[in-house]
Amino acid sequence: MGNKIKAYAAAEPGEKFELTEFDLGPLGAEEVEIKVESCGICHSDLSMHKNDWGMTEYPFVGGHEVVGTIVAAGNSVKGVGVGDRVGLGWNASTCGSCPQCIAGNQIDCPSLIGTIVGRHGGFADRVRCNWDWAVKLPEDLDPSKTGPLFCGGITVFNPFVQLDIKPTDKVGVIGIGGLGHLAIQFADKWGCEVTAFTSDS
Amino acid sequence: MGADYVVDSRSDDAITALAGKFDMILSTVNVDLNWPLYINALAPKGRLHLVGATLNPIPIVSFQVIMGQKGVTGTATGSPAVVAKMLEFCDRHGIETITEKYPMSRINEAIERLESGKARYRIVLENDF
Repeated sequence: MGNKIKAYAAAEPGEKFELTEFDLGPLGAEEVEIKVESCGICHSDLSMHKNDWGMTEYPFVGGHEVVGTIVAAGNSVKGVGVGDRVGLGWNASTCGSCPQCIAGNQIDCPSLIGTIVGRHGGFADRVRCNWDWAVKLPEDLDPSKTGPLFCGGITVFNPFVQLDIKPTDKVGVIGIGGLGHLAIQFADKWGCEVTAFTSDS
Repeated sequence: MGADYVVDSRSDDAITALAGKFDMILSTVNVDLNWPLYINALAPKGRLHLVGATLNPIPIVSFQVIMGQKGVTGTATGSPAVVAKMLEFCDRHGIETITEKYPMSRINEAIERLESGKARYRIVLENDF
């Protein structure tokens, strides 16, 4: 398999995405290459597309709610391998050796690299990440609906874990959109009493 | 989806009536709301937890968080072990994203749809290379 991928790229801030070919170079020892089945669109793709946060590199390939199958793996890859169906979210790489990584708090790694920050994301036929951020899908989940869990979903699931929310707690969710509609389901299945705050009539 | 109650997020009266109720209020929005009223709606030790990026600072009156040991916190995404836990949880409880699907070749149309605010609730592009 070559290092060339096909992707939808924006040449400048806010410009339309056009089919473009890129050469990603040799696969890193810790990297896997995922053949993309589907990819969700997150509001942060729009912010990055317009360079709202001043960290976008062009040509820009968005997409960080990926589901696909691993088609290549570097020599130092662990835990996953070719043929595994995995998902990839906002985070593509962390160092694995800082205190945060060792403690299992990889999202606080100072060397964290975002999937679409200075690299190409999942609006493409293939996308790469470090092995530890390619998380295997349970077989029974519908892959076509699972991509959004890897950014929108985890963003609203993690607070339940980090804040040690209990089934007896009362939880409010403000905003019923891409994130909120998942937050409400999580809170409900967690056992909580759930209040939705929305401006939709 | 599983909500027990639905409240108008811009009704000061409705939110005031919920004073002292919530152990966590999770905000997914990027717009300005009457935040002191939401902090007032927290139970003792409750958290207003932010995952939506609002453009303007959120005013916090010291005594609102001192009395009742309340807090305003935030997080983004989650670490791989928590991602795996979430997938298991979704599998066990049948939690699914409600999606609108587009072929990836129609990406520009899909992005316009997301920007319109009308998508219910997440757009997924399916690879058609």
